[in-house]
Amino acid sequence: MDIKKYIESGILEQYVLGLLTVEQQQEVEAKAQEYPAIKDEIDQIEDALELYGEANAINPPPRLETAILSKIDLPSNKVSSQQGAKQSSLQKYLGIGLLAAASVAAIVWAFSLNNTLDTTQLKLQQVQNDYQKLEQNCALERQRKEEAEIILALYKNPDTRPVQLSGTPKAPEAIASVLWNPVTQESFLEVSNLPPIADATKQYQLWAIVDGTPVDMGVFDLAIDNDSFLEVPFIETPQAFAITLENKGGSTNPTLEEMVVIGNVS
Amino acid sequence: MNQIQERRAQEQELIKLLKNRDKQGVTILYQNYSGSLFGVIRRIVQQQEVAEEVLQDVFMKIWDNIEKYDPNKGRLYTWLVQLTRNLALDRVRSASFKRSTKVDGLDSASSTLSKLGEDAYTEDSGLRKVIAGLDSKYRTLIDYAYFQGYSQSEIAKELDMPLGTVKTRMRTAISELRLLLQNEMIAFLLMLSCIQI
Repeated sequence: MDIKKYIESGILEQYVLGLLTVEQQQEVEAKAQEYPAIKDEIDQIEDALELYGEANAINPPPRLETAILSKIDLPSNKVSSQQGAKQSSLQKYLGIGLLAAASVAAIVWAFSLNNTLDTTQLKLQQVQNDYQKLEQNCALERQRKEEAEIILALYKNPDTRPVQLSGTPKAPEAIASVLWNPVTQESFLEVSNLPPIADATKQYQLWAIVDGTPVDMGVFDLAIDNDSFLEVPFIETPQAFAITLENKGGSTNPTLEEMVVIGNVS
Repeated sequence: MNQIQERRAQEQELIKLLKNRDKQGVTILYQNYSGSLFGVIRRIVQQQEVAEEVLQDVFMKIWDNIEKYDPNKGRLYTWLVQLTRNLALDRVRSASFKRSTKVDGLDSASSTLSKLGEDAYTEDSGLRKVIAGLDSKYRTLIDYAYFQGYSQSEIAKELDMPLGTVKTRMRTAISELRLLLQNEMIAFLLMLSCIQI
């Protein structure tokens, strides 16, 4: 069958306009099912005539809507109004126009977003770094605060006996303290100021003097980081505490010439 | 993209509602089609009160016969218009209108419509302007069939032209109409693309 010729015969227009006999209608419907091109042509004719009808529309009086809806027989008489179901072409176009404007805005925004993405990622990286630093600082501050609180608690504790270690002629400015508590059986060393260690093979060593004999209380590296605080072994009956500079790892007996601070337990 | 496509989507939903006997379907049907259908009725039925009665009858008939509508055979609107036209013509005939008065009927319908003034029309004046661009001889041809339910031989007689010419000219008329609507859509798309640039 020559589809083009069939379409151009005008029978499809007559079909849509309802000008055909029932037999002719059925024939067109059969052909439309068989040939998509014919169906498509019918669709387009219908679209055009629908718009033609809309262009020639006349609004019925508003009261007719209520009359018609109340006439419709139904179990539920609830009338749900569907506002905005009908829009004029102008409103539709306006809607599409607004949509288009919104699309343009979205595209512009997407472009600018793309452009600023790198910058944003850089900024994010910076912020993350800053945050990490702050976090580290915070942890350090927390540690210091806890230490300070412990020292404060120790000083406040009436059982604590602070022993001040004063500088020897070798290091007159040096100063340290041992907080000794026989009740809690705890000892803490607080280094306020010790001369820095120039020799990397040397280390400070804390001693207790018990019955005139020096007892090793361990080595420490606090000389550089003054204002530090360190828990040290508890000694039952110390007479005095002293710090000497010894070879790394500590000595069995203190080198008295290298003593920097000493203080008697009163 | 265009209003027809938009309406197609709404149409599917509407058909579903109506076939499910959902009264909301009638509300939507009224909002979407009452103007177009009343436009058809008013061009066939002269008296406003009678035309209003016919519109009510039309909605009752749609509601009662929606299961007879087959979406595969054509658009809902095509079915609605044919149903409306038949009811309106029945009313006019039962009121013992003579077929011979038909031409006068159309002419007086047109003058009645011009008397109705702009307010009676829908707000869709943009579309109306586009349609107005269609050659009047084509518009007359479409109107005879579309609004008056004239058969082809009746049109041939009224316009005093051979039946074959009516058929081919009807095709030309609707093709011109499609071209106009298409151009409107193209102009609209161009406007859109201008916005995008």
